[in-house]
Amino acid sequence: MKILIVEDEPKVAQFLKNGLEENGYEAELAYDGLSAEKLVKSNRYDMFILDIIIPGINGLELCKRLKNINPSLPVLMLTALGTTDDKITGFDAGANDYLVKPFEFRELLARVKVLLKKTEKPQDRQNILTVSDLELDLERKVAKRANTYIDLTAKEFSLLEFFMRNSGRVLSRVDIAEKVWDIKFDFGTNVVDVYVNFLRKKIDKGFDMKLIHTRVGFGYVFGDF
Amino acid sequence: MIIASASIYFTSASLRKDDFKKLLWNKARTTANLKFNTTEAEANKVLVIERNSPVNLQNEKVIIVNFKNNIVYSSDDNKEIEIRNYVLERVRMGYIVSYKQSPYEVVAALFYTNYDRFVVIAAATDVDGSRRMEKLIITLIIVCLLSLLLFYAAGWFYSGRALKPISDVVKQVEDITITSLNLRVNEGNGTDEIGRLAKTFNKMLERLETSFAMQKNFIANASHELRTPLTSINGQLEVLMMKDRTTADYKTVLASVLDDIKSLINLSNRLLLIARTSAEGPVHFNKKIRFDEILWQSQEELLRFNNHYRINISIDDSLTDSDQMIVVGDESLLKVAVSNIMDNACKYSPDRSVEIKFLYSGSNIEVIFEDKGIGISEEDLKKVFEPFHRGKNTISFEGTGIGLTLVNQIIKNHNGFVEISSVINKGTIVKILLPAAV
Repeated sequence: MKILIVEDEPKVAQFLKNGLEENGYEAELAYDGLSAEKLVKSNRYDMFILDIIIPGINGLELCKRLKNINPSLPVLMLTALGTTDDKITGFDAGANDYLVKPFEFRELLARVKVLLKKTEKPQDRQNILTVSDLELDLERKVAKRANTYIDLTAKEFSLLEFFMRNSGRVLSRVDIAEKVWDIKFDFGTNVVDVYVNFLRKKIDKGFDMKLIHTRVGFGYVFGDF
Repeated sequence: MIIASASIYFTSASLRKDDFKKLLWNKARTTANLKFNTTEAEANKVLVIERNSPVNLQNEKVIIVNFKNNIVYSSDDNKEIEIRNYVLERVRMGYIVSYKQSPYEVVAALFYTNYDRFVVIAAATDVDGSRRMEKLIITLIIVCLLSLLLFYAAGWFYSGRALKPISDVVKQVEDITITSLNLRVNEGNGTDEIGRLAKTFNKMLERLETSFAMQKNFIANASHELRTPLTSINGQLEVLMMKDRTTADYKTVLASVLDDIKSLINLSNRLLLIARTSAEGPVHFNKKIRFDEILWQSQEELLRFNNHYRINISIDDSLTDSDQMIVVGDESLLKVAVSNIMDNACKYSPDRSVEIKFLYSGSNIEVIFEDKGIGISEEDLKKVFEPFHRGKNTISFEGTGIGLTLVNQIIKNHNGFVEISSVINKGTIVKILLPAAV
C-alpha cells in the first residue's frame, strides 16, 4: 500500500513517513500542493494524508482536486484546526476522515487501516437489512420504511440493527442491554424500554404492520407477524 | 409677561378715554347749562372764569348748534373743530357720538332746554392722559426687558447649579482608566438621582476590576501550569544527555517525557477550549442535538480508554418523547462537558462508578451525575469553578483544575447552569440543567 503524505512541517512529515513505513506501508512525501499534484500524475497511490495548511494550493482545494481525479482513493486530513465547523469544511471538500493535531500516532495508524480496508471490500449486499417494508442501510446508516426515510440517532440505529439481525427471536431486556448498550449487569435501568418506545414511535407509528412486539415477561420480538 | 403688560396698557388706555369722555361731556353740559339756563351776564362771567382756569381740560372748545345748524355759541375761536353733518344727524337721532379729530377728542350729544334741542359739541386734548399713557408704556417695556434679563440670569445660574453634580461625576469618570480601575466615583448622599447614577457606575467599575484581575490571574496560572511539565521535560533530557546511557535508560526517560508531553497537549487543548467558550455566546448555536446521544457517546469514549470505569445511565419516565431530549448547541462542546463530569466522578471515586439520571422537568432537561467519591469540601465548593483550582483532597490525583471551569462555561453558553453539592468522603452530585429545544 502506497501512501502520499502532503505536509509542510519537515519534522512532522518525517515522523509520519518513518512511522508508516515501520508499519508496513510505503510512504512518499510532498511538501506543498503543487509537488503533490505532480507526483499524483506520475505515480499510483492507495491513499492520501493531507495537511490543510500547506504552501501553494491549500489542503482543502488539493483534496477536491485529488477526489476529482480518483474519487475512490481515501483522503485523511490532518490539521491543527479542530472546531466542528472546520471538520465539516474538511468533509465537504471530500475528506474521508479528519484528525486534529496533535494526535496519537496509534490513532493515525488505526484510521489509515480502516480507510484502506474500505477500498478492498467490494460492495456487499449484506449491508442492507430488510424486514417487511423496512430497509436498514448499514453503510449509509439510514432507515427507510415504505419509501419514507426515517431519522434515527446512533443508539436508535444500533437498537434497530440488533432487532433486525435477530428478527423472529425473542430478545430479553438483558440481551438487548448487553449487546446494544454494552451493559454487563442488569442494574434495573429502563433504557431498553425507553428506546424501544422511541423506536416504536418512529418506525411503527402510522404503519398498519407493527414490527416491534412485546412478549410480557420475556422481552421483545421483531418481525412482521 | 408680555401679555400681562399689553393688557395692562390697553385697559389703562380705554379707561383713560372713558374718563376723559365723561369729563368732556360734563364740561359741555355745564357750558350749555350756563348758556341756556342762566342769565346772560351771569353765564358770561362763569364762562370767562372757566375758560381762564382750565383745570382738567386743555384747549377746551365748546360749540352749540341749533336745529337750523346755526352756531349759537362757540368757544372755538380759531374754528379748529369741524362740525360734521353726519355727526349732527347721529346726535339728533339720540346717540352720543365721540370721535377723535387730531389732536382733539370730541364728544357730541343732545342738550334739551324747555323749548329747544341743541347739539353740544365739546372737544379737548387730554394732555395729561396722553402723558400718563406714554409713561406707562415706557415703564412696561422697561419692566419687560429687565424681567427677561433677570429670568435668563436666574435660569443660567440655577441650571448650572443643578447640573453641577453631573459634571462632577463626568470629571471623576474621565480620570478612571484601565490602570486606575480601583478609583471610585463620589456617591454623595447616595439617595438622589445623581447618587444612584454614581452607585451604578461604581458597581460596574467593581465588575470590571474583578474581571481584569481574573484575566491576569488566569494568564499567570496558565503559564505556571504549562511551565511545570516543560521544566520536567527539559530537565530530564538535559540530565540524560550529560553522559552516555544504556538503551533501557533512554527508553525510560523517553517514556516519561512522552507522558509529560501528553499532559501538555491535554492542558493546551483545554485552554484553547476555555478561550473558545468564553468568547462564544449562546447566539452562535443553531444545531439541534439529541442530548441522550451525547451521553452515550461520552460514555463510550470514556469506557474505551478507562475500561474499569462504570457509567450507568438511566432515563426518567418524564422523558416520554424522544423530541424532549433535543437541545440547541454545539455537539463537541457538550460532549466535552459531559465527559469531564463523568471522568471526574469516576476518577475521584474508589469504586470508579457514576450513576446518571436523565430527566425532563418544566421544559428543561436535567442530568444528575452522582458518585460515591472523595467529595468536595465546603470551602472548595465555593471556588470549584475557578480556573486551576483543585480541591485540597486531590493532591494524589492527576488533574488540571480547569475541567469544571470548562463545564461551567460550556453549559452557561448553552443557556443552562451547573449545580454541585457534595459531602466529604461520601460523594458528589453534579446537576446540569439545559433548556429543551422543544
